[in-house]
Amino acid sequence: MQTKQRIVILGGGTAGWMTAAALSRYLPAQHYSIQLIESAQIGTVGVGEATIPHIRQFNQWIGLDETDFMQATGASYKLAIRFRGWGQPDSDYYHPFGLSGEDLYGLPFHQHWLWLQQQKTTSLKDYGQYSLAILMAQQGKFSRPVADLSNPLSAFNYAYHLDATLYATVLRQHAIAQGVEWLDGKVTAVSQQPNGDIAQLQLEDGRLIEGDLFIDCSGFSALLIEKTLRAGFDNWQQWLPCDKALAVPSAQDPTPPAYTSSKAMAAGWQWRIPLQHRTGNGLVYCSSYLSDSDAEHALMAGLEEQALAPARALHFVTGRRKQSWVKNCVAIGLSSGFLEPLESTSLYLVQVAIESLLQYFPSHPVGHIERELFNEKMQLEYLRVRDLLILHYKLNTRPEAFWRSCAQMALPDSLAHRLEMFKETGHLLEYRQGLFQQASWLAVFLGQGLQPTQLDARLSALDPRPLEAWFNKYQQQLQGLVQAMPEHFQVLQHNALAGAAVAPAASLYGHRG
Amino acid sequence: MRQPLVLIGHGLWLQMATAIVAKHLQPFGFRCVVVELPAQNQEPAAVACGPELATLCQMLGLPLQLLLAKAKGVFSLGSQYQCKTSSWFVPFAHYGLNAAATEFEQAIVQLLQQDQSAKAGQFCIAATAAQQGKFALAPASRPDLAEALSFGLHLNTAEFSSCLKHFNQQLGVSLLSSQKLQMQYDAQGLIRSLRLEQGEEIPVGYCLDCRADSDKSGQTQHLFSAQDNAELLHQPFSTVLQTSWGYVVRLPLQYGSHWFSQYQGPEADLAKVRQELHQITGLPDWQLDSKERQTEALPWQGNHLRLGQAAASVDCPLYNGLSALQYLVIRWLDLLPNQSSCPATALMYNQHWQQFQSEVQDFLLLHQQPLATKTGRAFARLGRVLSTETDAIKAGQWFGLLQGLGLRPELPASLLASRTDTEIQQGLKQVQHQISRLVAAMPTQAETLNRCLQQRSH
Repeated sequence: MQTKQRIVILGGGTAGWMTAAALSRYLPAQHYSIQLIESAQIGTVGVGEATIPHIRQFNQWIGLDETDFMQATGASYKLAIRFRGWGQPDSDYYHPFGLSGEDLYGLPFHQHWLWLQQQKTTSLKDYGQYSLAILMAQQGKFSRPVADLSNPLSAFNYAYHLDATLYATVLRQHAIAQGVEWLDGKVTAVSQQPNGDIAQLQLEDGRLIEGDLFIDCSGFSALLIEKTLRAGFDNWQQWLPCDKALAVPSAQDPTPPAYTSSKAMAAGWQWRIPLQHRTGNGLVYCSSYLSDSDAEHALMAGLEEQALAPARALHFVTGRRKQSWVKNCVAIGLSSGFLEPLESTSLYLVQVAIESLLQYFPSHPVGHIERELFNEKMQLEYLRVRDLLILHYKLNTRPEAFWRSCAQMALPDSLAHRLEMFKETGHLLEYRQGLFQQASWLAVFLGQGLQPTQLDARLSALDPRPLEAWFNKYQQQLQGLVQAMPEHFQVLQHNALAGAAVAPAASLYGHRG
Repeated sequence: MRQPLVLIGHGLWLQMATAIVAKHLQPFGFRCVVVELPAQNQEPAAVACGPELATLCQMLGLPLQLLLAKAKGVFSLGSQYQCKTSSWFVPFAHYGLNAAATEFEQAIVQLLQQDQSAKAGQFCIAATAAQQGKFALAPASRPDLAEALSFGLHLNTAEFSSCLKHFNQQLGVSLLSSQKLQMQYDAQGLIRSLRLEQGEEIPVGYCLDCRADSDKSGQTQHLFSAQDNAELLHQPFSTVLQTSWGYVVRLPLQYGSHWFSQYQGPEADLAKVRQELHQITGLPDWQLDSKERQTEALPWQGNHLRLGQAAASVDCPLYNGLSALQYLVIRWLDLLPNQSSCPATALMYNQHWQQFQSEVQDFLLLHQQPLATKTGRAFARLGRVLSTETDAIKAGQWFGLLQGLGLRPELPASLLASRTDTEIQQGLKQVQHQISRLVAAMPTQAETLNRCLQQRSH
């Protein structure tokens, strides 16, 4: 008699093994069997070398010690993303995992900053200079944040740059130790029940793998969710036109910065992700504006270290499945959708899908409520990330044809309203669900040169002089804190933070966020 | 904004909006003009304010002790619901000792399924305190306790309003009154000025309209109200009794309490409703008022913010429109425009309001038809409260109501699957034990209230 609920995960990249590790952590082996099918013949994309701070919660969730994780994955710390050439050819700004400044007189910090800028305050520094995370990133320093909200060190957070293949290996060891069965095999056929549910997968060697719940982590091929269940796909290329990428590893940087680099190029952008043992590089581009050979040439010419392997090509269509959960099949990772790694959200979207799956975990047969809630949640998450990505492309005055076309594109309503509202008042309306909050929107708005036409009506009553003095004092305080911190590369070399207490904050921006 | 902010309306809602706006904006040199108009409907005699009032009073610099003294106020930790077969408490605060504790509510639900005699309130500090007649103001050093004892106030409406009016006068707000009012518009459809009954014309930069009534017709709501003299200081909560058409709500004040029930049905049945109210409450005299309720989805249009109509669209005995009004005012202040017309800001604000409104309506519909709401269906399937975009209804209120209505999930909580029943029960027992110890050391509401009133008199 069958007593266990049978979960079959198809695909063993980062998404597959993250899912396996999390499910095996929470679903006891006496009630659930978990099998993961992976084919040695099929390579993995290895997404998500740059992460956002939520990955720390995930690691804590599954019981992965930070020091062990850092060593096993060659990870470095990450405090921000540096954007060069975005907006204008000479622009250079950071999107930090942290807040800038503090509210004053009941008004957000950025309103005061914009107002002082309008007053032509001479001592006013760039917006980013009031962010601890940015100062740390710029000065190559690193220290862990604290939870005490009265301490300025609570106003930032951190993530990692990691080797995705090594991370998948760590997760695999973890999952197998917790009872996940690892099957090497290639799926050749999928059988369905009369009601459309997936019944079993046939492997190349003839084995039949039956299941009650199937998790499609098969990557772009979307073998179950699309090829079998025809979930449908929302194509977002009209807003995010890049459709190809090249990736190449280069030698290690002896003093790796604690930030991901994103440099705008003629028809796309180039990333640089410094790990302990090597550097990840890549170029995301639009094939209508740049040939593959020119792309490769541009990528190689932009490397700061010697390449360690030939460039690997990737073709993608930006968008997401109309439904991530259809029948008894849940798509997680690239099978669910693809958003370019501009804001390092790939693993976050995997993580949030796993969390939601566990929250809405079905019995057999699957009910429509859990499916509906999961699909709504994932749609919201994808849409909110999508809008911030589009913003990067929209707000630009670059001269190249690709960028002119991006600047002129029509926006989705959700983004158009947000943008217009900021222009009208310099204000942003917060939302609770979804990843990026005010600090992220501001980083891009201000970093890419968007100036509101009006500011909050209260500002004109203020005297700029005491405000300016406060700004100066605040900035000096931050500088003092950063100067006292150890160098990031030394922290990595000496594993200086080993054993220290880790308390991941729920917010992207730290405990104060 | 060079032209003044003009607030129009009457009663408590007008005074509350004025207090918030004037306190925030006068230090920045804004001129606030208030025009009091005659009320179309009588305000309910008592008002149940949610936990946001305490924060608001702190922000305004209005001592709670003053409100308690002047408006015969008492504390409220939530609502005690009673129906024929069961009773339960719906707190403002969270369950457990830590608001951020994940899966704690799922553990409670699991226990409730296994043990029919268990009550969710055992695992909530506010519910336990309320049922023992206890109430304490948490010390500033214990923000965790303050959160676990989130409280509202029941206040006499007229006295509360008068208190706020006095506060507004002290702030130096210009208070005018007029029997009639006419809005003058410019070519862009923005309000240019208001003409009062004697021809006086007030220029308008922005108009905050606190009038609840509108010209549009809507659904007729009948509001029954009554009063008793029973002293209920041992009950720091409101009581919600189920009736054949909905609910009757009792709000205790320092001396006696006020009862309210809303009925929406054929006028021919009003006598029966009155009779049932008499049977349930023992009170023979019920006053009846009727009003039209509309849905206001777009309160911000041009330089006109229809706060009153928006708040009125959710106002009923189970949800106080004052909370909605406060929310609308504060959100507007968060986005304070520097020009009369900012359509994108208004659009985003209105969308946000629609979410607030929809969350309140969902909460109210849960009382009648739990499974007609997505929230109810999700709880009945998964035992989870859905995430919300606003604080219209607090997390503890959602959970308290859903479990109290008897909804039990079909599916077990997978995130607790790796814990044994014994482990979960032991964990819950420990929390319950700590809650009992905490509550045992708390003063009664009467003691806390006396101390507050004495502080005031000194």
